[in-house]
Amino acid sequence: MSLLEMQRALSRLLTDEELREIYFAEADAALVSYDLSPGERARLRDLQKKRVAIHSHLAMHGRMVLALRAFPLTARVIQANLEEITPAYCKRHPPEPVDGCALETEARRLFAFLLEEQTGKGRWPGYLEALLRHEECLFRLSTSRAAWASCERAFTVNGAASMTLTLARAESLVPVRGAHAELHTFGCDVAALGQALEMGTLPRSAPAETTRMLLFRQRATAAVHAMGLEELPYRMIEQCDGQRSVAGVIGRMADELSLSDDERMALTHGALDVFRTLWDAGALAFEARVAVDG
Amino acid sequence: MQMMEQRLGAGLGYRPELGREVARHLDEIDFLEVLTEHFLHCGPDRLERLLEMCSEKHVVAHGMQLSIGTDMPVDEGYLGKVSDLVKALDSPWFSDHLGFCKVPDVDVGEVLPLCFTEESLAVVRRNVGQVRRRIGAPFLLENITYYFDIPHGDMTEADFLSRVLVDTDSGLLLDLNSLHINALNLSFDPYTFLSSIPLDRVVEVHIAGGRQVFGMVVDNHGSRVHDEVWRLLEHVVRRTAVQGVVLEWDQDFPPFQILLDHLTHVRNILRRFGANRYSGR
Repeated sequence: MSLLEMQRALSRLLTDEELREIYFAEADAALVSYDLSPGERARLRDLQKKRVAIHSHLAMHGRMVLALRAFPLTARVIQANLEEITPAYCKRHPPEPVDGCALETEARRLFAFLLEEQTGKGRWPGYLEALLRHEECLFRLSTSRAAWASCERAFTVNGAASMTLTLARAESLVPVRGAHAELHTFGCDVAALGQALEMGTLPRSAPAETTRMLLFRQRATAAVHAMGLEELPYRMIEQCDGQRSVAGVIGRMADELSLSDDERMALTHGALDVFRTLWDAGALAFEARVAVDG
Repeated sequence: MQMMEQRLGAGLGYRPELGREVARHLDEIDFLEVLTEHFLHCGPDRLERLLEMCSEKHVVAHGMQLSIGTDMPVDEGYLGKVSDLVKALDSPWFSDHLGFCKVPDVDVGEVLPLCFTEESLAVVRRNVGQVRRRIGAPFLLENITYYFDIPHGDMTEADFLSRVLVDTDSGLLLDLNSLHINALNLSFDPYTFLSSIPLDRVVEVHIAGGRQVFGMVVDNHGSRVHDEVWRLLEHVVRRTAVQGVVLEWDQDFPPFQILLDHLTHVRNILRRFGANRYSGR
């Protein structure tokens, strides 16, 4: 018997639909597993049931509103289904406490839920998965502490190197893709889709189009920059495993493509340009250390 | 209650969605109030950018997650982070809600009402003591919106709030929209409520808008401030030296000029009814 036990029961009543149904049918039956004094039991039993129902509804939708702040464009696509999916979301992901940011927690839960719903039921236009993954990445890179730390590290490391990336240095610099930069391939043009949604259009579909992007957090603003990539630079950045040097990455690409010496030289110059752009943008950290270029 | 007498004026609840407009119109906003949860878990650059933007402004810290009424000690790790943030902001005070939002197995996500009993009072007294030992800045408690009473209490909400403020020597963050909405939904007179609490403990006031749902008014912070809330603000400002009034707007954001118009209206009320206590802009 304690105030805490009563608060536990009330919290559960407001967030657990099944318990609430039992409570509405027979209040004492819902409270049987809580160690309550007669006075505490009476307080919970005599709550205004209709108001409890309304408050539960508001709490449930409050969770959804919070989570959707991470996915503002996805929210426009799923808006018409919110009444339907919100109870299912809250049931599948009960509001168990976790350390950390409430928004990040709810965003992570809703991301998993919406992907499951789309995969299992195909509820929304086919582009939803790409849109959702894109927004999830933007949100995570702009808010996570790990992305911030990685971004700072790239700035420090690249600043410390304090010289331009030349062919002569290509063997002694190791490009590292940290937690602030992620490569993604989407099944449609998510940038164009986002623009349409922001203009208030709700497309029924989006043309299938492989879209490769490097998404990385920018140091000055914490905004996430999306860099569209052709296949070759995309594969090259994929090879940046924190072990190989710039020269090692380029050499591996050339080997994979079975290039002639002239083609290899052209690739090297093109690749160095790409790496310089990534250096200047702070997308990759270039560490001066011994590489493992096997 | 040791409070510096500071007339902060008309402030805005800072939300990330408003960041760009806030930066553009900073000279039309007297001070900002930030939600501590927006800064506790991210990289420190977010706070650095805010402090850089607001180098000439007061920034006030407002918490959501203390759960001061939960019958268990406040999480010391959380308090430590809040304490660091309050110091970094040089916040003139720190506030959170008089209610509870979590228990060990459930994080409800919004603040729930307490039983207005001696037992709850003892819990709040103990937890406020813990907060004050850890956080140097003056502590304010905010009255909450709630949609049902917990019956068989020992006292009214006004009596409970008054006892809490006096026993813990805390300031009051008076949420006038919560008061207005509770008065409508729970059928009581807000002016009687105001006459029953120690208005001299009001340090800050919150104003916001609500909306009708299921025949009730809901505190969604997503619409214009209701006329009755403005009248309540005038009533309070006539009677006590409010140090700052904050407009909260959390969703369905209108053109920013509407928010600025609200702040202008607040300033006019502070000047007109505040017995020359406010020089302001």
